[in-house]
Formats: sequence, C-alpha cells, structure tokens
Amino acid sequence: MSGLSFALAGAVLFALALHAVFARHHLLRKIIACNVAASGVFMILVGMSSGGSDGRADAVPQALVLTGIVISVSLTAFLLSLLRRLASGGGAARLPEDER
Amino acid sequence: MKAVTNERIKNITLALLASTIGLGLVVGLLNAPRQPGVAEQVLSMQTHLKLEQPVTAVLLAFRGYDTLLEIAVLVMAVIAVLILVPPRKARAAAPITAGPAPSPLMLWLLPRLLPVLVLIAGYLWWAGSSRPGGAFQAGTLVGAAAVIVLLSQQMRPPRLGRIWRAILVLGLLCFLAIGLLGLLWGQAFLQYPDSWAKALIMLIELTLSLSIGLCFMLLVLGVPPRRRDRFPGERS
Amino acid sequence: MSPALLLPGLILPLVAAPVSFLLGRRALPWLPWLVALMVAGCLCGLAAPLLSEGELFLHLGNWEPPLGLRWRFDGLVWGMIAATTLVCLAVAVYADGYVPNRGRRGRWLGFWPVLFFLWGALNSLFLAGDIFNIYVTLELVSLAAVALVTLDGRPQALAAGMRYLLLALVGSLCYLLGIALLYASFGVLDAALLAERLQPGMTASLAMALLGVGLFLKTALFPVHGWLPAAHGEAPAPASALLSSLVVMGSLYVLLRLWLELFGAVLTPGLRQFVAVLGAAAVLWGSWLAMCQRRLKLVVAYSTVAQLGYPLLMVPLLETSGAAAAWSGGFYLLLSHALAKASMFLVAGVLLHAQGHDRIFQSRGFAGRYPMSVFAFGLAALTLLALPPSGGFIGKWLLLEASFGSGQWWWGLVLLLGGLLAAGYVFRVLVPIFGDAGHRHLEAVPLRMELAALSLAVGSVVLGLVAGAPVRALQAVVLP
Repeated sequence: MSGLSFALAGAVLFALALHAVFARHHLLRKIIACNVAASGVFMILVGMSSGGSDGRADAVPQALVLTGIVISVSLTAFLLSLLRRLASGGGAARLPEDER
Repeated sequence: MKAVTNERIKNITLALLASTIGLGLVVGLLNAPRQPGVAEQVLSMQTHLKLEQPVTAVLLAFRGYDTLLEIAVLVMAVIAVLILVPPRKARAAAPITAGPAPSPLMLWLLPRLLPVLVLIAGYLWWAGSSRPGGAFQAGTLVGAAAVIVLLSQQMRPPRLGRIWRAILVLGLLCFLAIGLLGLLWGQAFLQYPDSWAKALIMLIELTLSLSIGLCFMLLVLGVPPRRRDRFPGERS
Repeated sequence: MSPALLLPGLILPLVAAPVSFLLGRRALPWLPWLVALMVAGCLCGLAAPLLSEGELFLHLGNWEPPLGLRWRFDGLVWGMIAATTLVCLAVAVYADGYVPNRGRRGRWLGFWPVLFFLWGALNSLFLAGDIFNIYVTLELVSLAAVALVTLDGRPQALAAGMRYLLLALVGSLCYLLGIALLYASFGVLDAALLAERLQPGMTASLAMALLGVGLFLKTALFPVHGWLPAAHGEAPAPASALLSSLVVMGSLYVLLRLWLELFGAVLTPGLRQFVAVLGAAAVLWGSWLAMCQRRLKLVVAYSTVAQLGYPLLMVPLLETSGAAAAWSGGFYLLLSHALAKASMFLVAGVLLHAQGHDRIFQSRGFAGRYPMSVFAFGLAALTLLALPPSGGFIGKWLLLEASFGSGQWWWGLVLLLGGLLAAGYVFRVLVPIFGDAGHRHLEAVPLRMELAALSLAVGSVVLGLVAGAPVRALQAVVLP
C-alpha cells in the first residue's frame, strides 16, 4: 500500500498549496504554491495507479506525469518571467488587490 | 482595523476551505474503487514497436499526440517569454551572465565537464528506447550544459537569429512532418510504418532533444532585469 | 476523400505556428488565409461523410483506445471549428491592419505564432476524445491566451495576465486531479469508454466536482468570473476578440460535454437546478455590471460574463421533453456569441484606435465617421439582445421553447430578463456614439479592420437566417 500513502500525502500537499495560492500575497509564493500543488497532483496520479499482473508499474500514469511536469515547468517559467516584468515595471511583486 | 478583521475572516475561510478539500480528497482516495489501467496492453503492444521501454512507447507511440502538444506548449512558453522581453533589451545581459566573475575552478572545470554532459545527453537519448531516458532527459542535460556555459560568462546569450529559431521549432516541425507525411503512404496520422518505427522515433527524439535543450536555456534566461535591479556582487 | 485524411488537416494551424515564428513578417498576409482555406476545405470535405455517418472517429497513430488516443468528430465539433476558423481569420486580417499602426513592430511579431497556436489548440480541443489530451490542449490554450493578454506589456495588462494564469493553473490542476481519480478508479482515459465504465458514487461525484471547479475557473463562470473583465479588457483589441469569443467557448464546450456525457447519472435534478442557478446569476450579475462600466471594452467584457451563463441553463432542461431544443439552443447561442462578441471587440479596437481611448461618454460622433463599424456593432448586438434575425435569437428561442415546454418556466424568465438587461447596456453605448462630433479629431483606421468586424457581425446574423440545417446537425449529435 505504499502507493496509497504517496497519494494521501499528495492530497495533503495539494490542499496546503491551494491554501497558499490564495492566502499568500507575494507572487513568488503563489507561483511556488502552484508548483507544490502540481507535485501533489502528480503524486496522486502515480500513487493511485495499479500495475500489471507481474508487478510492473503501469507506464501510462508515468507518461502522463512526465507530460504534466514539462507543462508545469513551461508555465512556471512563463509565470516567473511575467513576475520579473511586473516587478521591474511597477516595483511590486504583488497583484493590485493584494497591495496594502 | 476593519481591513485587519476582513483579512482574518478571509484567512479563516481559506483555511476551512482548504482543509475541507484536503479531507474530502483523502476520504475520496481511501474509498476509490480501483480498476487496472491499460498496463497489460502497453506491455503486449510495445513489442510491436521494438521499444523495450514502456514509458517511451506510451509517450511517443500510443499517446504520441499528447507529446506533440506538450512540445507545442514548451515552444509556446518560450515565445510567450520572448514576447515579454522589452525589444531593445533582447541582448541585454541576463542575470545569470552578469554575476560575479567566474572562479578559476569553474574555468578549469568547464572544458572537462561539457563533453561529459554532451556524452551523457547522447547516451540518454540512445538509451531511451530500452531503459529509462529519452528526449526530455537528454534535452534537459543539453539545456543545463548551455546554462553552465552562460554562467561561466565564456559566451553571451545568442541573439535569436534564423538558425537559433529554426533549432527552437525543429523538434515540433519534425514530429508534425513525420506524423503528416505518413498520410501520403496510406498510414494513419502519427502512425509509424512498422519497419521504420524505431528509427523514426529515434529521429524525433534527437530533434526533440535539441529543441528542448534550447527551450530550457531560453526559459532559464527569461526576461533580463532592469539596470538597477542588480544582485549584490554583480558586475555592471 | 476519406475522413482519415481530412481530419488531420484541421490541426494545420499547429504547423503554421512554428512556420510563422520562422518567417516573421514574410508570412503575412498570406499564411492566415492559406491555413483558413485549407481548414475550410477539410471542413467542406468532411460535411458529406458527417451527414451520412453522424459521427466520425479517427484513431491517432492507428492505436485503438484505451491504449491510444482518438478524435471524435460530429456536427457540434464541425460548428465549433468552423466558428473558430472564421473568427481567427477575421482577427488575423484585422490585426494585420492594426499591428503596424501601433508601432513597436518587434513585439507584435509574437502575435502570429500565438494566434496559430491558439487556433490549432482549440481545433484540437474540440476534436479530442481523451480527457488527458483535453488537459494538454487546455494548457496550450491558456498559455496562448495569457500571452495574448500580456502582448503589449503595460503593467495593468501584465497584472491581469498574471492573475489569469494563476487561476487558470489552479483550474487545470483541479482538472488533472479529477483525471487522476477517474483513471485510478475506472482504468481508462477515453471519454466514450469512460462513460460506459463510470459507476455513480463518491469517486465519480468528487471527480465531477474537481473537473467542474477547474473548468468553471478557466471559463470564468459565476462565481469565479472575477479575472475575466480585467484580462479581456486590458488585452489589445484583436487579442480580446480571440479571448472573449473562442477561449472561453473552448472550456465551456469541454465542461458541458464532459459533465453531460460522463456524469449524466451523477447530476441529480437538484444539482442540475443548482448549475442553472449559477448560470442565471452569471446572466443577471454580469449584465448589471456591464451596465455600470464606463469603458467600452469593459462593457463588452462583462457582457461576456453574462452571455456565458446562458448555455448552463440547458443543464436542467436536458432531462425534460425539451432536451433536443435545449441542447441545440445552448450551443447555437454559444456559436453565435463567439462571432458577435469577436466583432464587438474588433469594433471597440477601432474606437480605441480612432480616438485613443474607449471611454463611452467621450465617444460622441464616432458613428458619423465610422458608420460601417457602428453598423457592425449594431448587427452583433442583435445576438446579445436575441432579436431576429440573429443567431442569438434562434438559440434563445430554442431554449425558451424547451423551458416553457417542459414546465420549468423560471429559466425562460431569466432568458427574457437577460435580453432586457443587454438592451440596457447596448443602448447605453450606442446613444453617445451617435451624438454630434463637433470639432473632435478622429484618427483614420485601415478599411480592412472595419471589414473584418463587419464580416463577423454579418456571420452572426447569417447564423440566424440559415438556422435550419445547422440546428438539425446539432440535434443529430447523440444526446447524452
């Protein structure tokens, strides 16, 4: 049942990160939280998969996670560039509604 | 005062919401019925392709279209980042190339490290058909090698001329071309002819590795900072 | 020609994207035309087999699902891709006039690959029959959409894009989590196979909720619509047109299809009413906010929030005797809205270009100088007001028929009230525009920009004039 424990940890990570995305004001924290949430989802995806009869892991969730990681990396890179542009233009790494 | 109270209410609501979601997920995962996926079919069909590594078979054959779109996402992300670069700063020093002067150790290591990185990237590409590895792993190493060169300040970030642009989209175009050309010989879209399957997949992986490496390098470079956003210790 | 040869032609924009990246300005103006003509040719060639077969499948790489992926092509997909192609071509023609005028040519070169990526990703999204493949296409759509928002690099646009991308990312993670649950529990990713295997229960409900939350976020449906007006209002006009017509249409299409086809048994009557209540709230609240705006682009953006609520009203009506009318009405409304809304944003761009700002009450005399644009705006507004002979009228009429015919008259009231509110915000814009210009100076605008806006508006009216065949084609789609 080690797969299930990974999945459960992933669920907890996802919930924590989801909280952080909305509760934190600094954009860098929001972006990192999105990354953590993605890792949680990937852990669930791999942890919940059941393998073939001879005990070999199912290759499909692994391939899905690989695809998901590359997408997550691409989006994170774009978000970081956006953050840098935003911060160097307006001077703040926050969204207007989070300014105080 | 009021703003502080609102903030607290928001925080408590968010915490409650997040814990409900977490709890719901945990309960849902514990009670989920489990049905075997398509692991068996993957193992039985991959022998057709002469690919011993099931993940590669899924990525490039069975679900090849997913991988095609994933490369499109990567290239799209690079274009999105390039759009963000202010026009006149296209060649401005990126932060990683403007750091402190490289140490003598780094300069000594660089010519010895690079061939190894390239060699391992080549191995990963080749091994992808039978062992864990493949285009993304190889591409990541190519990208890492490029980033190390930039870090050592032995080379400035290239201006994206025609050749660099061509390398950037080479993998995507090659994948699409091989997928579409099959139509001319009566194959399905993205179907590889049986005897050529492995060779074509290796060709796609090779071009993908190069494109992915360049994409990752450009994503690491990102948007150059303004002059005054220097990190401590950076040279001007 | 066999469909196996023609269906791949529909994702040719994905080939055009890297090509336009390589060629830069030399790809203009012929490449968008070439791609649109080829896609349109494929659509024409596919019409005949579609009419005889009803539904076409293409196994990608010749691998059977559940191992491989497949595309599903039916009347609804045909309509979605046709609308996408029309809007993308018109926006391309418009942007070619718009771009050089705004200067800063270097950055605008980025517009073309993004346009093609968006176009190809949407076509692929409509074709996708595999829920993970939908996830990947949705990510490509979101990324292209945010790149469009941040295209001109103003701080407000960057902030709007940032907010949009963060929420879209949360949305897609929820969606991916739903997929993880479905694959673990039912062992397939192909939507049609999943519909056969799915057992109602806690997992199915949880997955439905996760998919729903994710797609609500991406579509900006009430109550998570907050990011949309800023993002669509701050983007350059051609980008706004694509975002407000196509991008939201794509994710709403996925939401409706997945919910209705996979989770028909999980959606209890109470839940269906709840979904429609959210739709009704979107219509009323979005229209009200549209009436309070002072800038034209924001009026049009809030009207998108409102219009996206209508298709949700079909959800409870699908269990009644009016199912066929509700289904075709909801999607007909979505298609006509895409053409009309794109046209309105293009006109907003003409206004912005002509006078340098889009404040409604300082737009006197615009109609006198740009009658063609204002005519296009009026024609497009017919769809929002659901007046005959527009496509919006047909869609709303079908929904009204379904709602009164099935005894759920309260949704009919929402439809009528929404039309009334739309009249409010449309006339609030039109009245100052028709005023006397006085000695105000208005910049000249290239003719093709106005023609592009007009052709889309005419398209939304033509949808109302030739409604018979398309509505029958929509109703021929296998109802969930």
